[in-house]
Amino acid sequence: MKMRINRTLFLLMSLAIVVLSVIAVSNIIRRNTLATSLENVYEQNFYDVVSNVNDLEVKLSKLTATNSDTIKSRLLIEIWNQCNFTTNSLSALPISHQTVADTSAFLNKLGAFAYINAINLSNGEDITSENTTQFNTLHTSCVTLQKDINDLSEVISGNYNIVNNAKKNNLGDFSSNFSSMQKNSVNYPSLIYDGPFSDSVINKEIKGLPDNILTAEEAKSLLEEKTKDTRITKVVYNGKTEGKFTTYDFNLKLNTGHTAYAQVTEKGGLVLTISNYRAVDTITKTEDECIIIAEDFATKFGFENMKSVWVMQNNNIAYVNLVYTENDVIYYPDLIVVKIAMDTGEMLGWEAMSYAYNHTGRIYSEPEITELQAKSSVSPLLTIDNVRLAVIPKEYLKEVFTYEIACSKDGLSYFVYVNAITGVEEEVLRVVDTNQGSLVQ
Amino acid sequence: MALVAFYGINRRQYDLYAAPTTAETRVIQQRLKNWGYYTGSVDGIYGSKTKSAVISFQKKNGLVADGIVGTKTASAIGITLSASSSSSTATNSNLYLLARCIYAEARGEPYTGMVAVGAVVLNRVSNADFPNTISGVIYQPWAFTSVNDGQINLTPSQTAINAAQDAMNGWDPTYGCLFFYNPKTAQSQWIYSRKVVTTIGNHRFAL
Repeated sequence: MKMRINRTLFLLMSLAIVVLSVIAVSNIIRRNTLATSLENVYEQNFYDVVSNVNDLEVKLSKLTATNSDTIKSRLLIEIWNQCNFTTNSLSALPISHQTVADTSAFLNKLGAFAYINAINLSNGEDITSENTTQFNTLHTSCVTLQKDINDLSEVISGNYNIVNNAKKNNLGDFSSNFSSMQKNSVNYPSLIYDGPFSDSVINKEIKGLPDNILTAEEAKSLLEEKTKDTRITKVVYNGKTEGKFTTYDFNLKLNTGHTAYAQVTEKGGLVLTISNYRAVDTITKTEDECIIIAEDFATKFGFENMKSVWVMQNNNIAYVNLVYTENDVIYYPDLIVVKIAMDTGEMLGWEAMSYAYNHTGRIYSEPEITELQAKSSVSPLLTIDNVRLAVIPKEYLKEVFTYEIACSKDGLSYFVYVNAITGVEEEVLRVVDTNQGSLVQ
Repeated sequence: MALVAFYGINRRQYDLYAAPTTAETRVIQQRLKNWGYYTGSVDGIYGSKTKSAVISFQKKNGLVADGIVGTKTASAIGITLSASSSSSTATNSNLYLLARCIYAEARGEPYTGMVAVGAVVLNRVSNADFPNTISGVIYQPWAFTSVNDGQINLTPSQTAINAAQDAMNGWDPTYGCLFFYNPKTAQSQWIYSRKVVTTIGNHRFAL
């Protein structure tokens, strides 16, 4: 009897061991399969980086060797594309941000610099001698980067496993390989140009703030005064933000029990941000009513001549976009966005950063070409619906005075911008319908 | 209206007014045709003919004659636009991804703190040291703990979606910050070397 129990127990135990072993083994197999797939993705990205850097080196050297604008322009566009591909692959590798930041910055800036030069070429401007020198220096950096990355590639093509060597905190071998590479090679030249990632764009000048400097106390009373007769019952100082703008931050207690958040600039005392959220379930206000509420707030906060250019609705909240308007000219860069709850008409948000960056006393009033001339430069395939004058922001920090010509063709809407001084077509945008509303691209 | 694309340069996108769908446009065309404002075909395409029909309808009915079928014009024509009572599902994949990141990283934070996290992601997109797309920034290895531990896959709340929308519309309470961390849980020593710009809720925001 006892023997039998022992035997049964033994059988059961053996069975359990077999089942557990099968589960364990299949888990190991599954984990290995996953690890292998991940390794393959990493290696694919790594080899993409290697081959792209090799290509970049060749293209940069060709650029310094050719005398043909056509070839230059083709090479520049290819360099720009290749830099984008490379940074994409690079960012998919298991390397920490600190380790990869300089290499990523080199590639992004090289790409942007190539792009700007390509645009200049297509506008009939030559590559300046300074820029040619810069491309030579960039080529030298690229050669060093190429050598280091190819050395690393030899290590990896041996019996190296990226997954096993990638760990966050001790940074793993893979990251440290990259880190030493970055230290060696990358004596990157600083580039002087106006384009994406350039210093002038990153540290762009703030033009729209008056000169007076406010104390926190003054900012508080200013805010109290401008928000009186609203739902705001109490303004509480909440410290200072010292980023691109220096602001005093406040919590606003509302009579609804909510707390909103506001920032007032230290220089000039502009109400820069108000941020609040609550769910809005019904619509009782029309868009036109929301526009009036938003424009009234602008006046109350001390912003004159702000006109609504369009309204977007999202979850029963109207985002009213106000821009500065003077003498029937619309200044798109001087933008303020105001969020209005469409149930009660309560203001839920205010954002004046673009205005603070861009608004100056500049005046564009006299176009040098006539409306008729502007219209005649529009593609004959388009039907013109409406024309008005507008200052538009152009890549990178530039502004252009234009005729904004609303057109349509085959049921699609376009905006064509014709330079009001030179008559050159500066920009064409198309309205794209999405199920959230329309976008222009 | 065209500002959208200009601000696309800054990698911020603006949605515009809710346009009628093809089906709604057909209804609009049919009614305007019945009432003699429209002579074209009922094809569901909101073209210039439809637009000028809408404009003359608006003029006749004392509405703002802008050719846009907004809430008022729609109700005068006798239809309700589906988009204006919009559902909560975000269809813009970037917006939704950003909302997921905000929800995973900052769901216990005040609303402004959620917008700020969204703004940090967008600031990274336009900074050379980081990847150039929203997905590139969010999925950069070890950039966000919520991506490592899978919390990024949680369904975002409506508040997070709104915060993402605000960040995309240009709200940035951090004015250009590239990093944020919770001083109670931050593990990296390196992060303390960054210049702190502001503190919102539990997060410090830094350059």
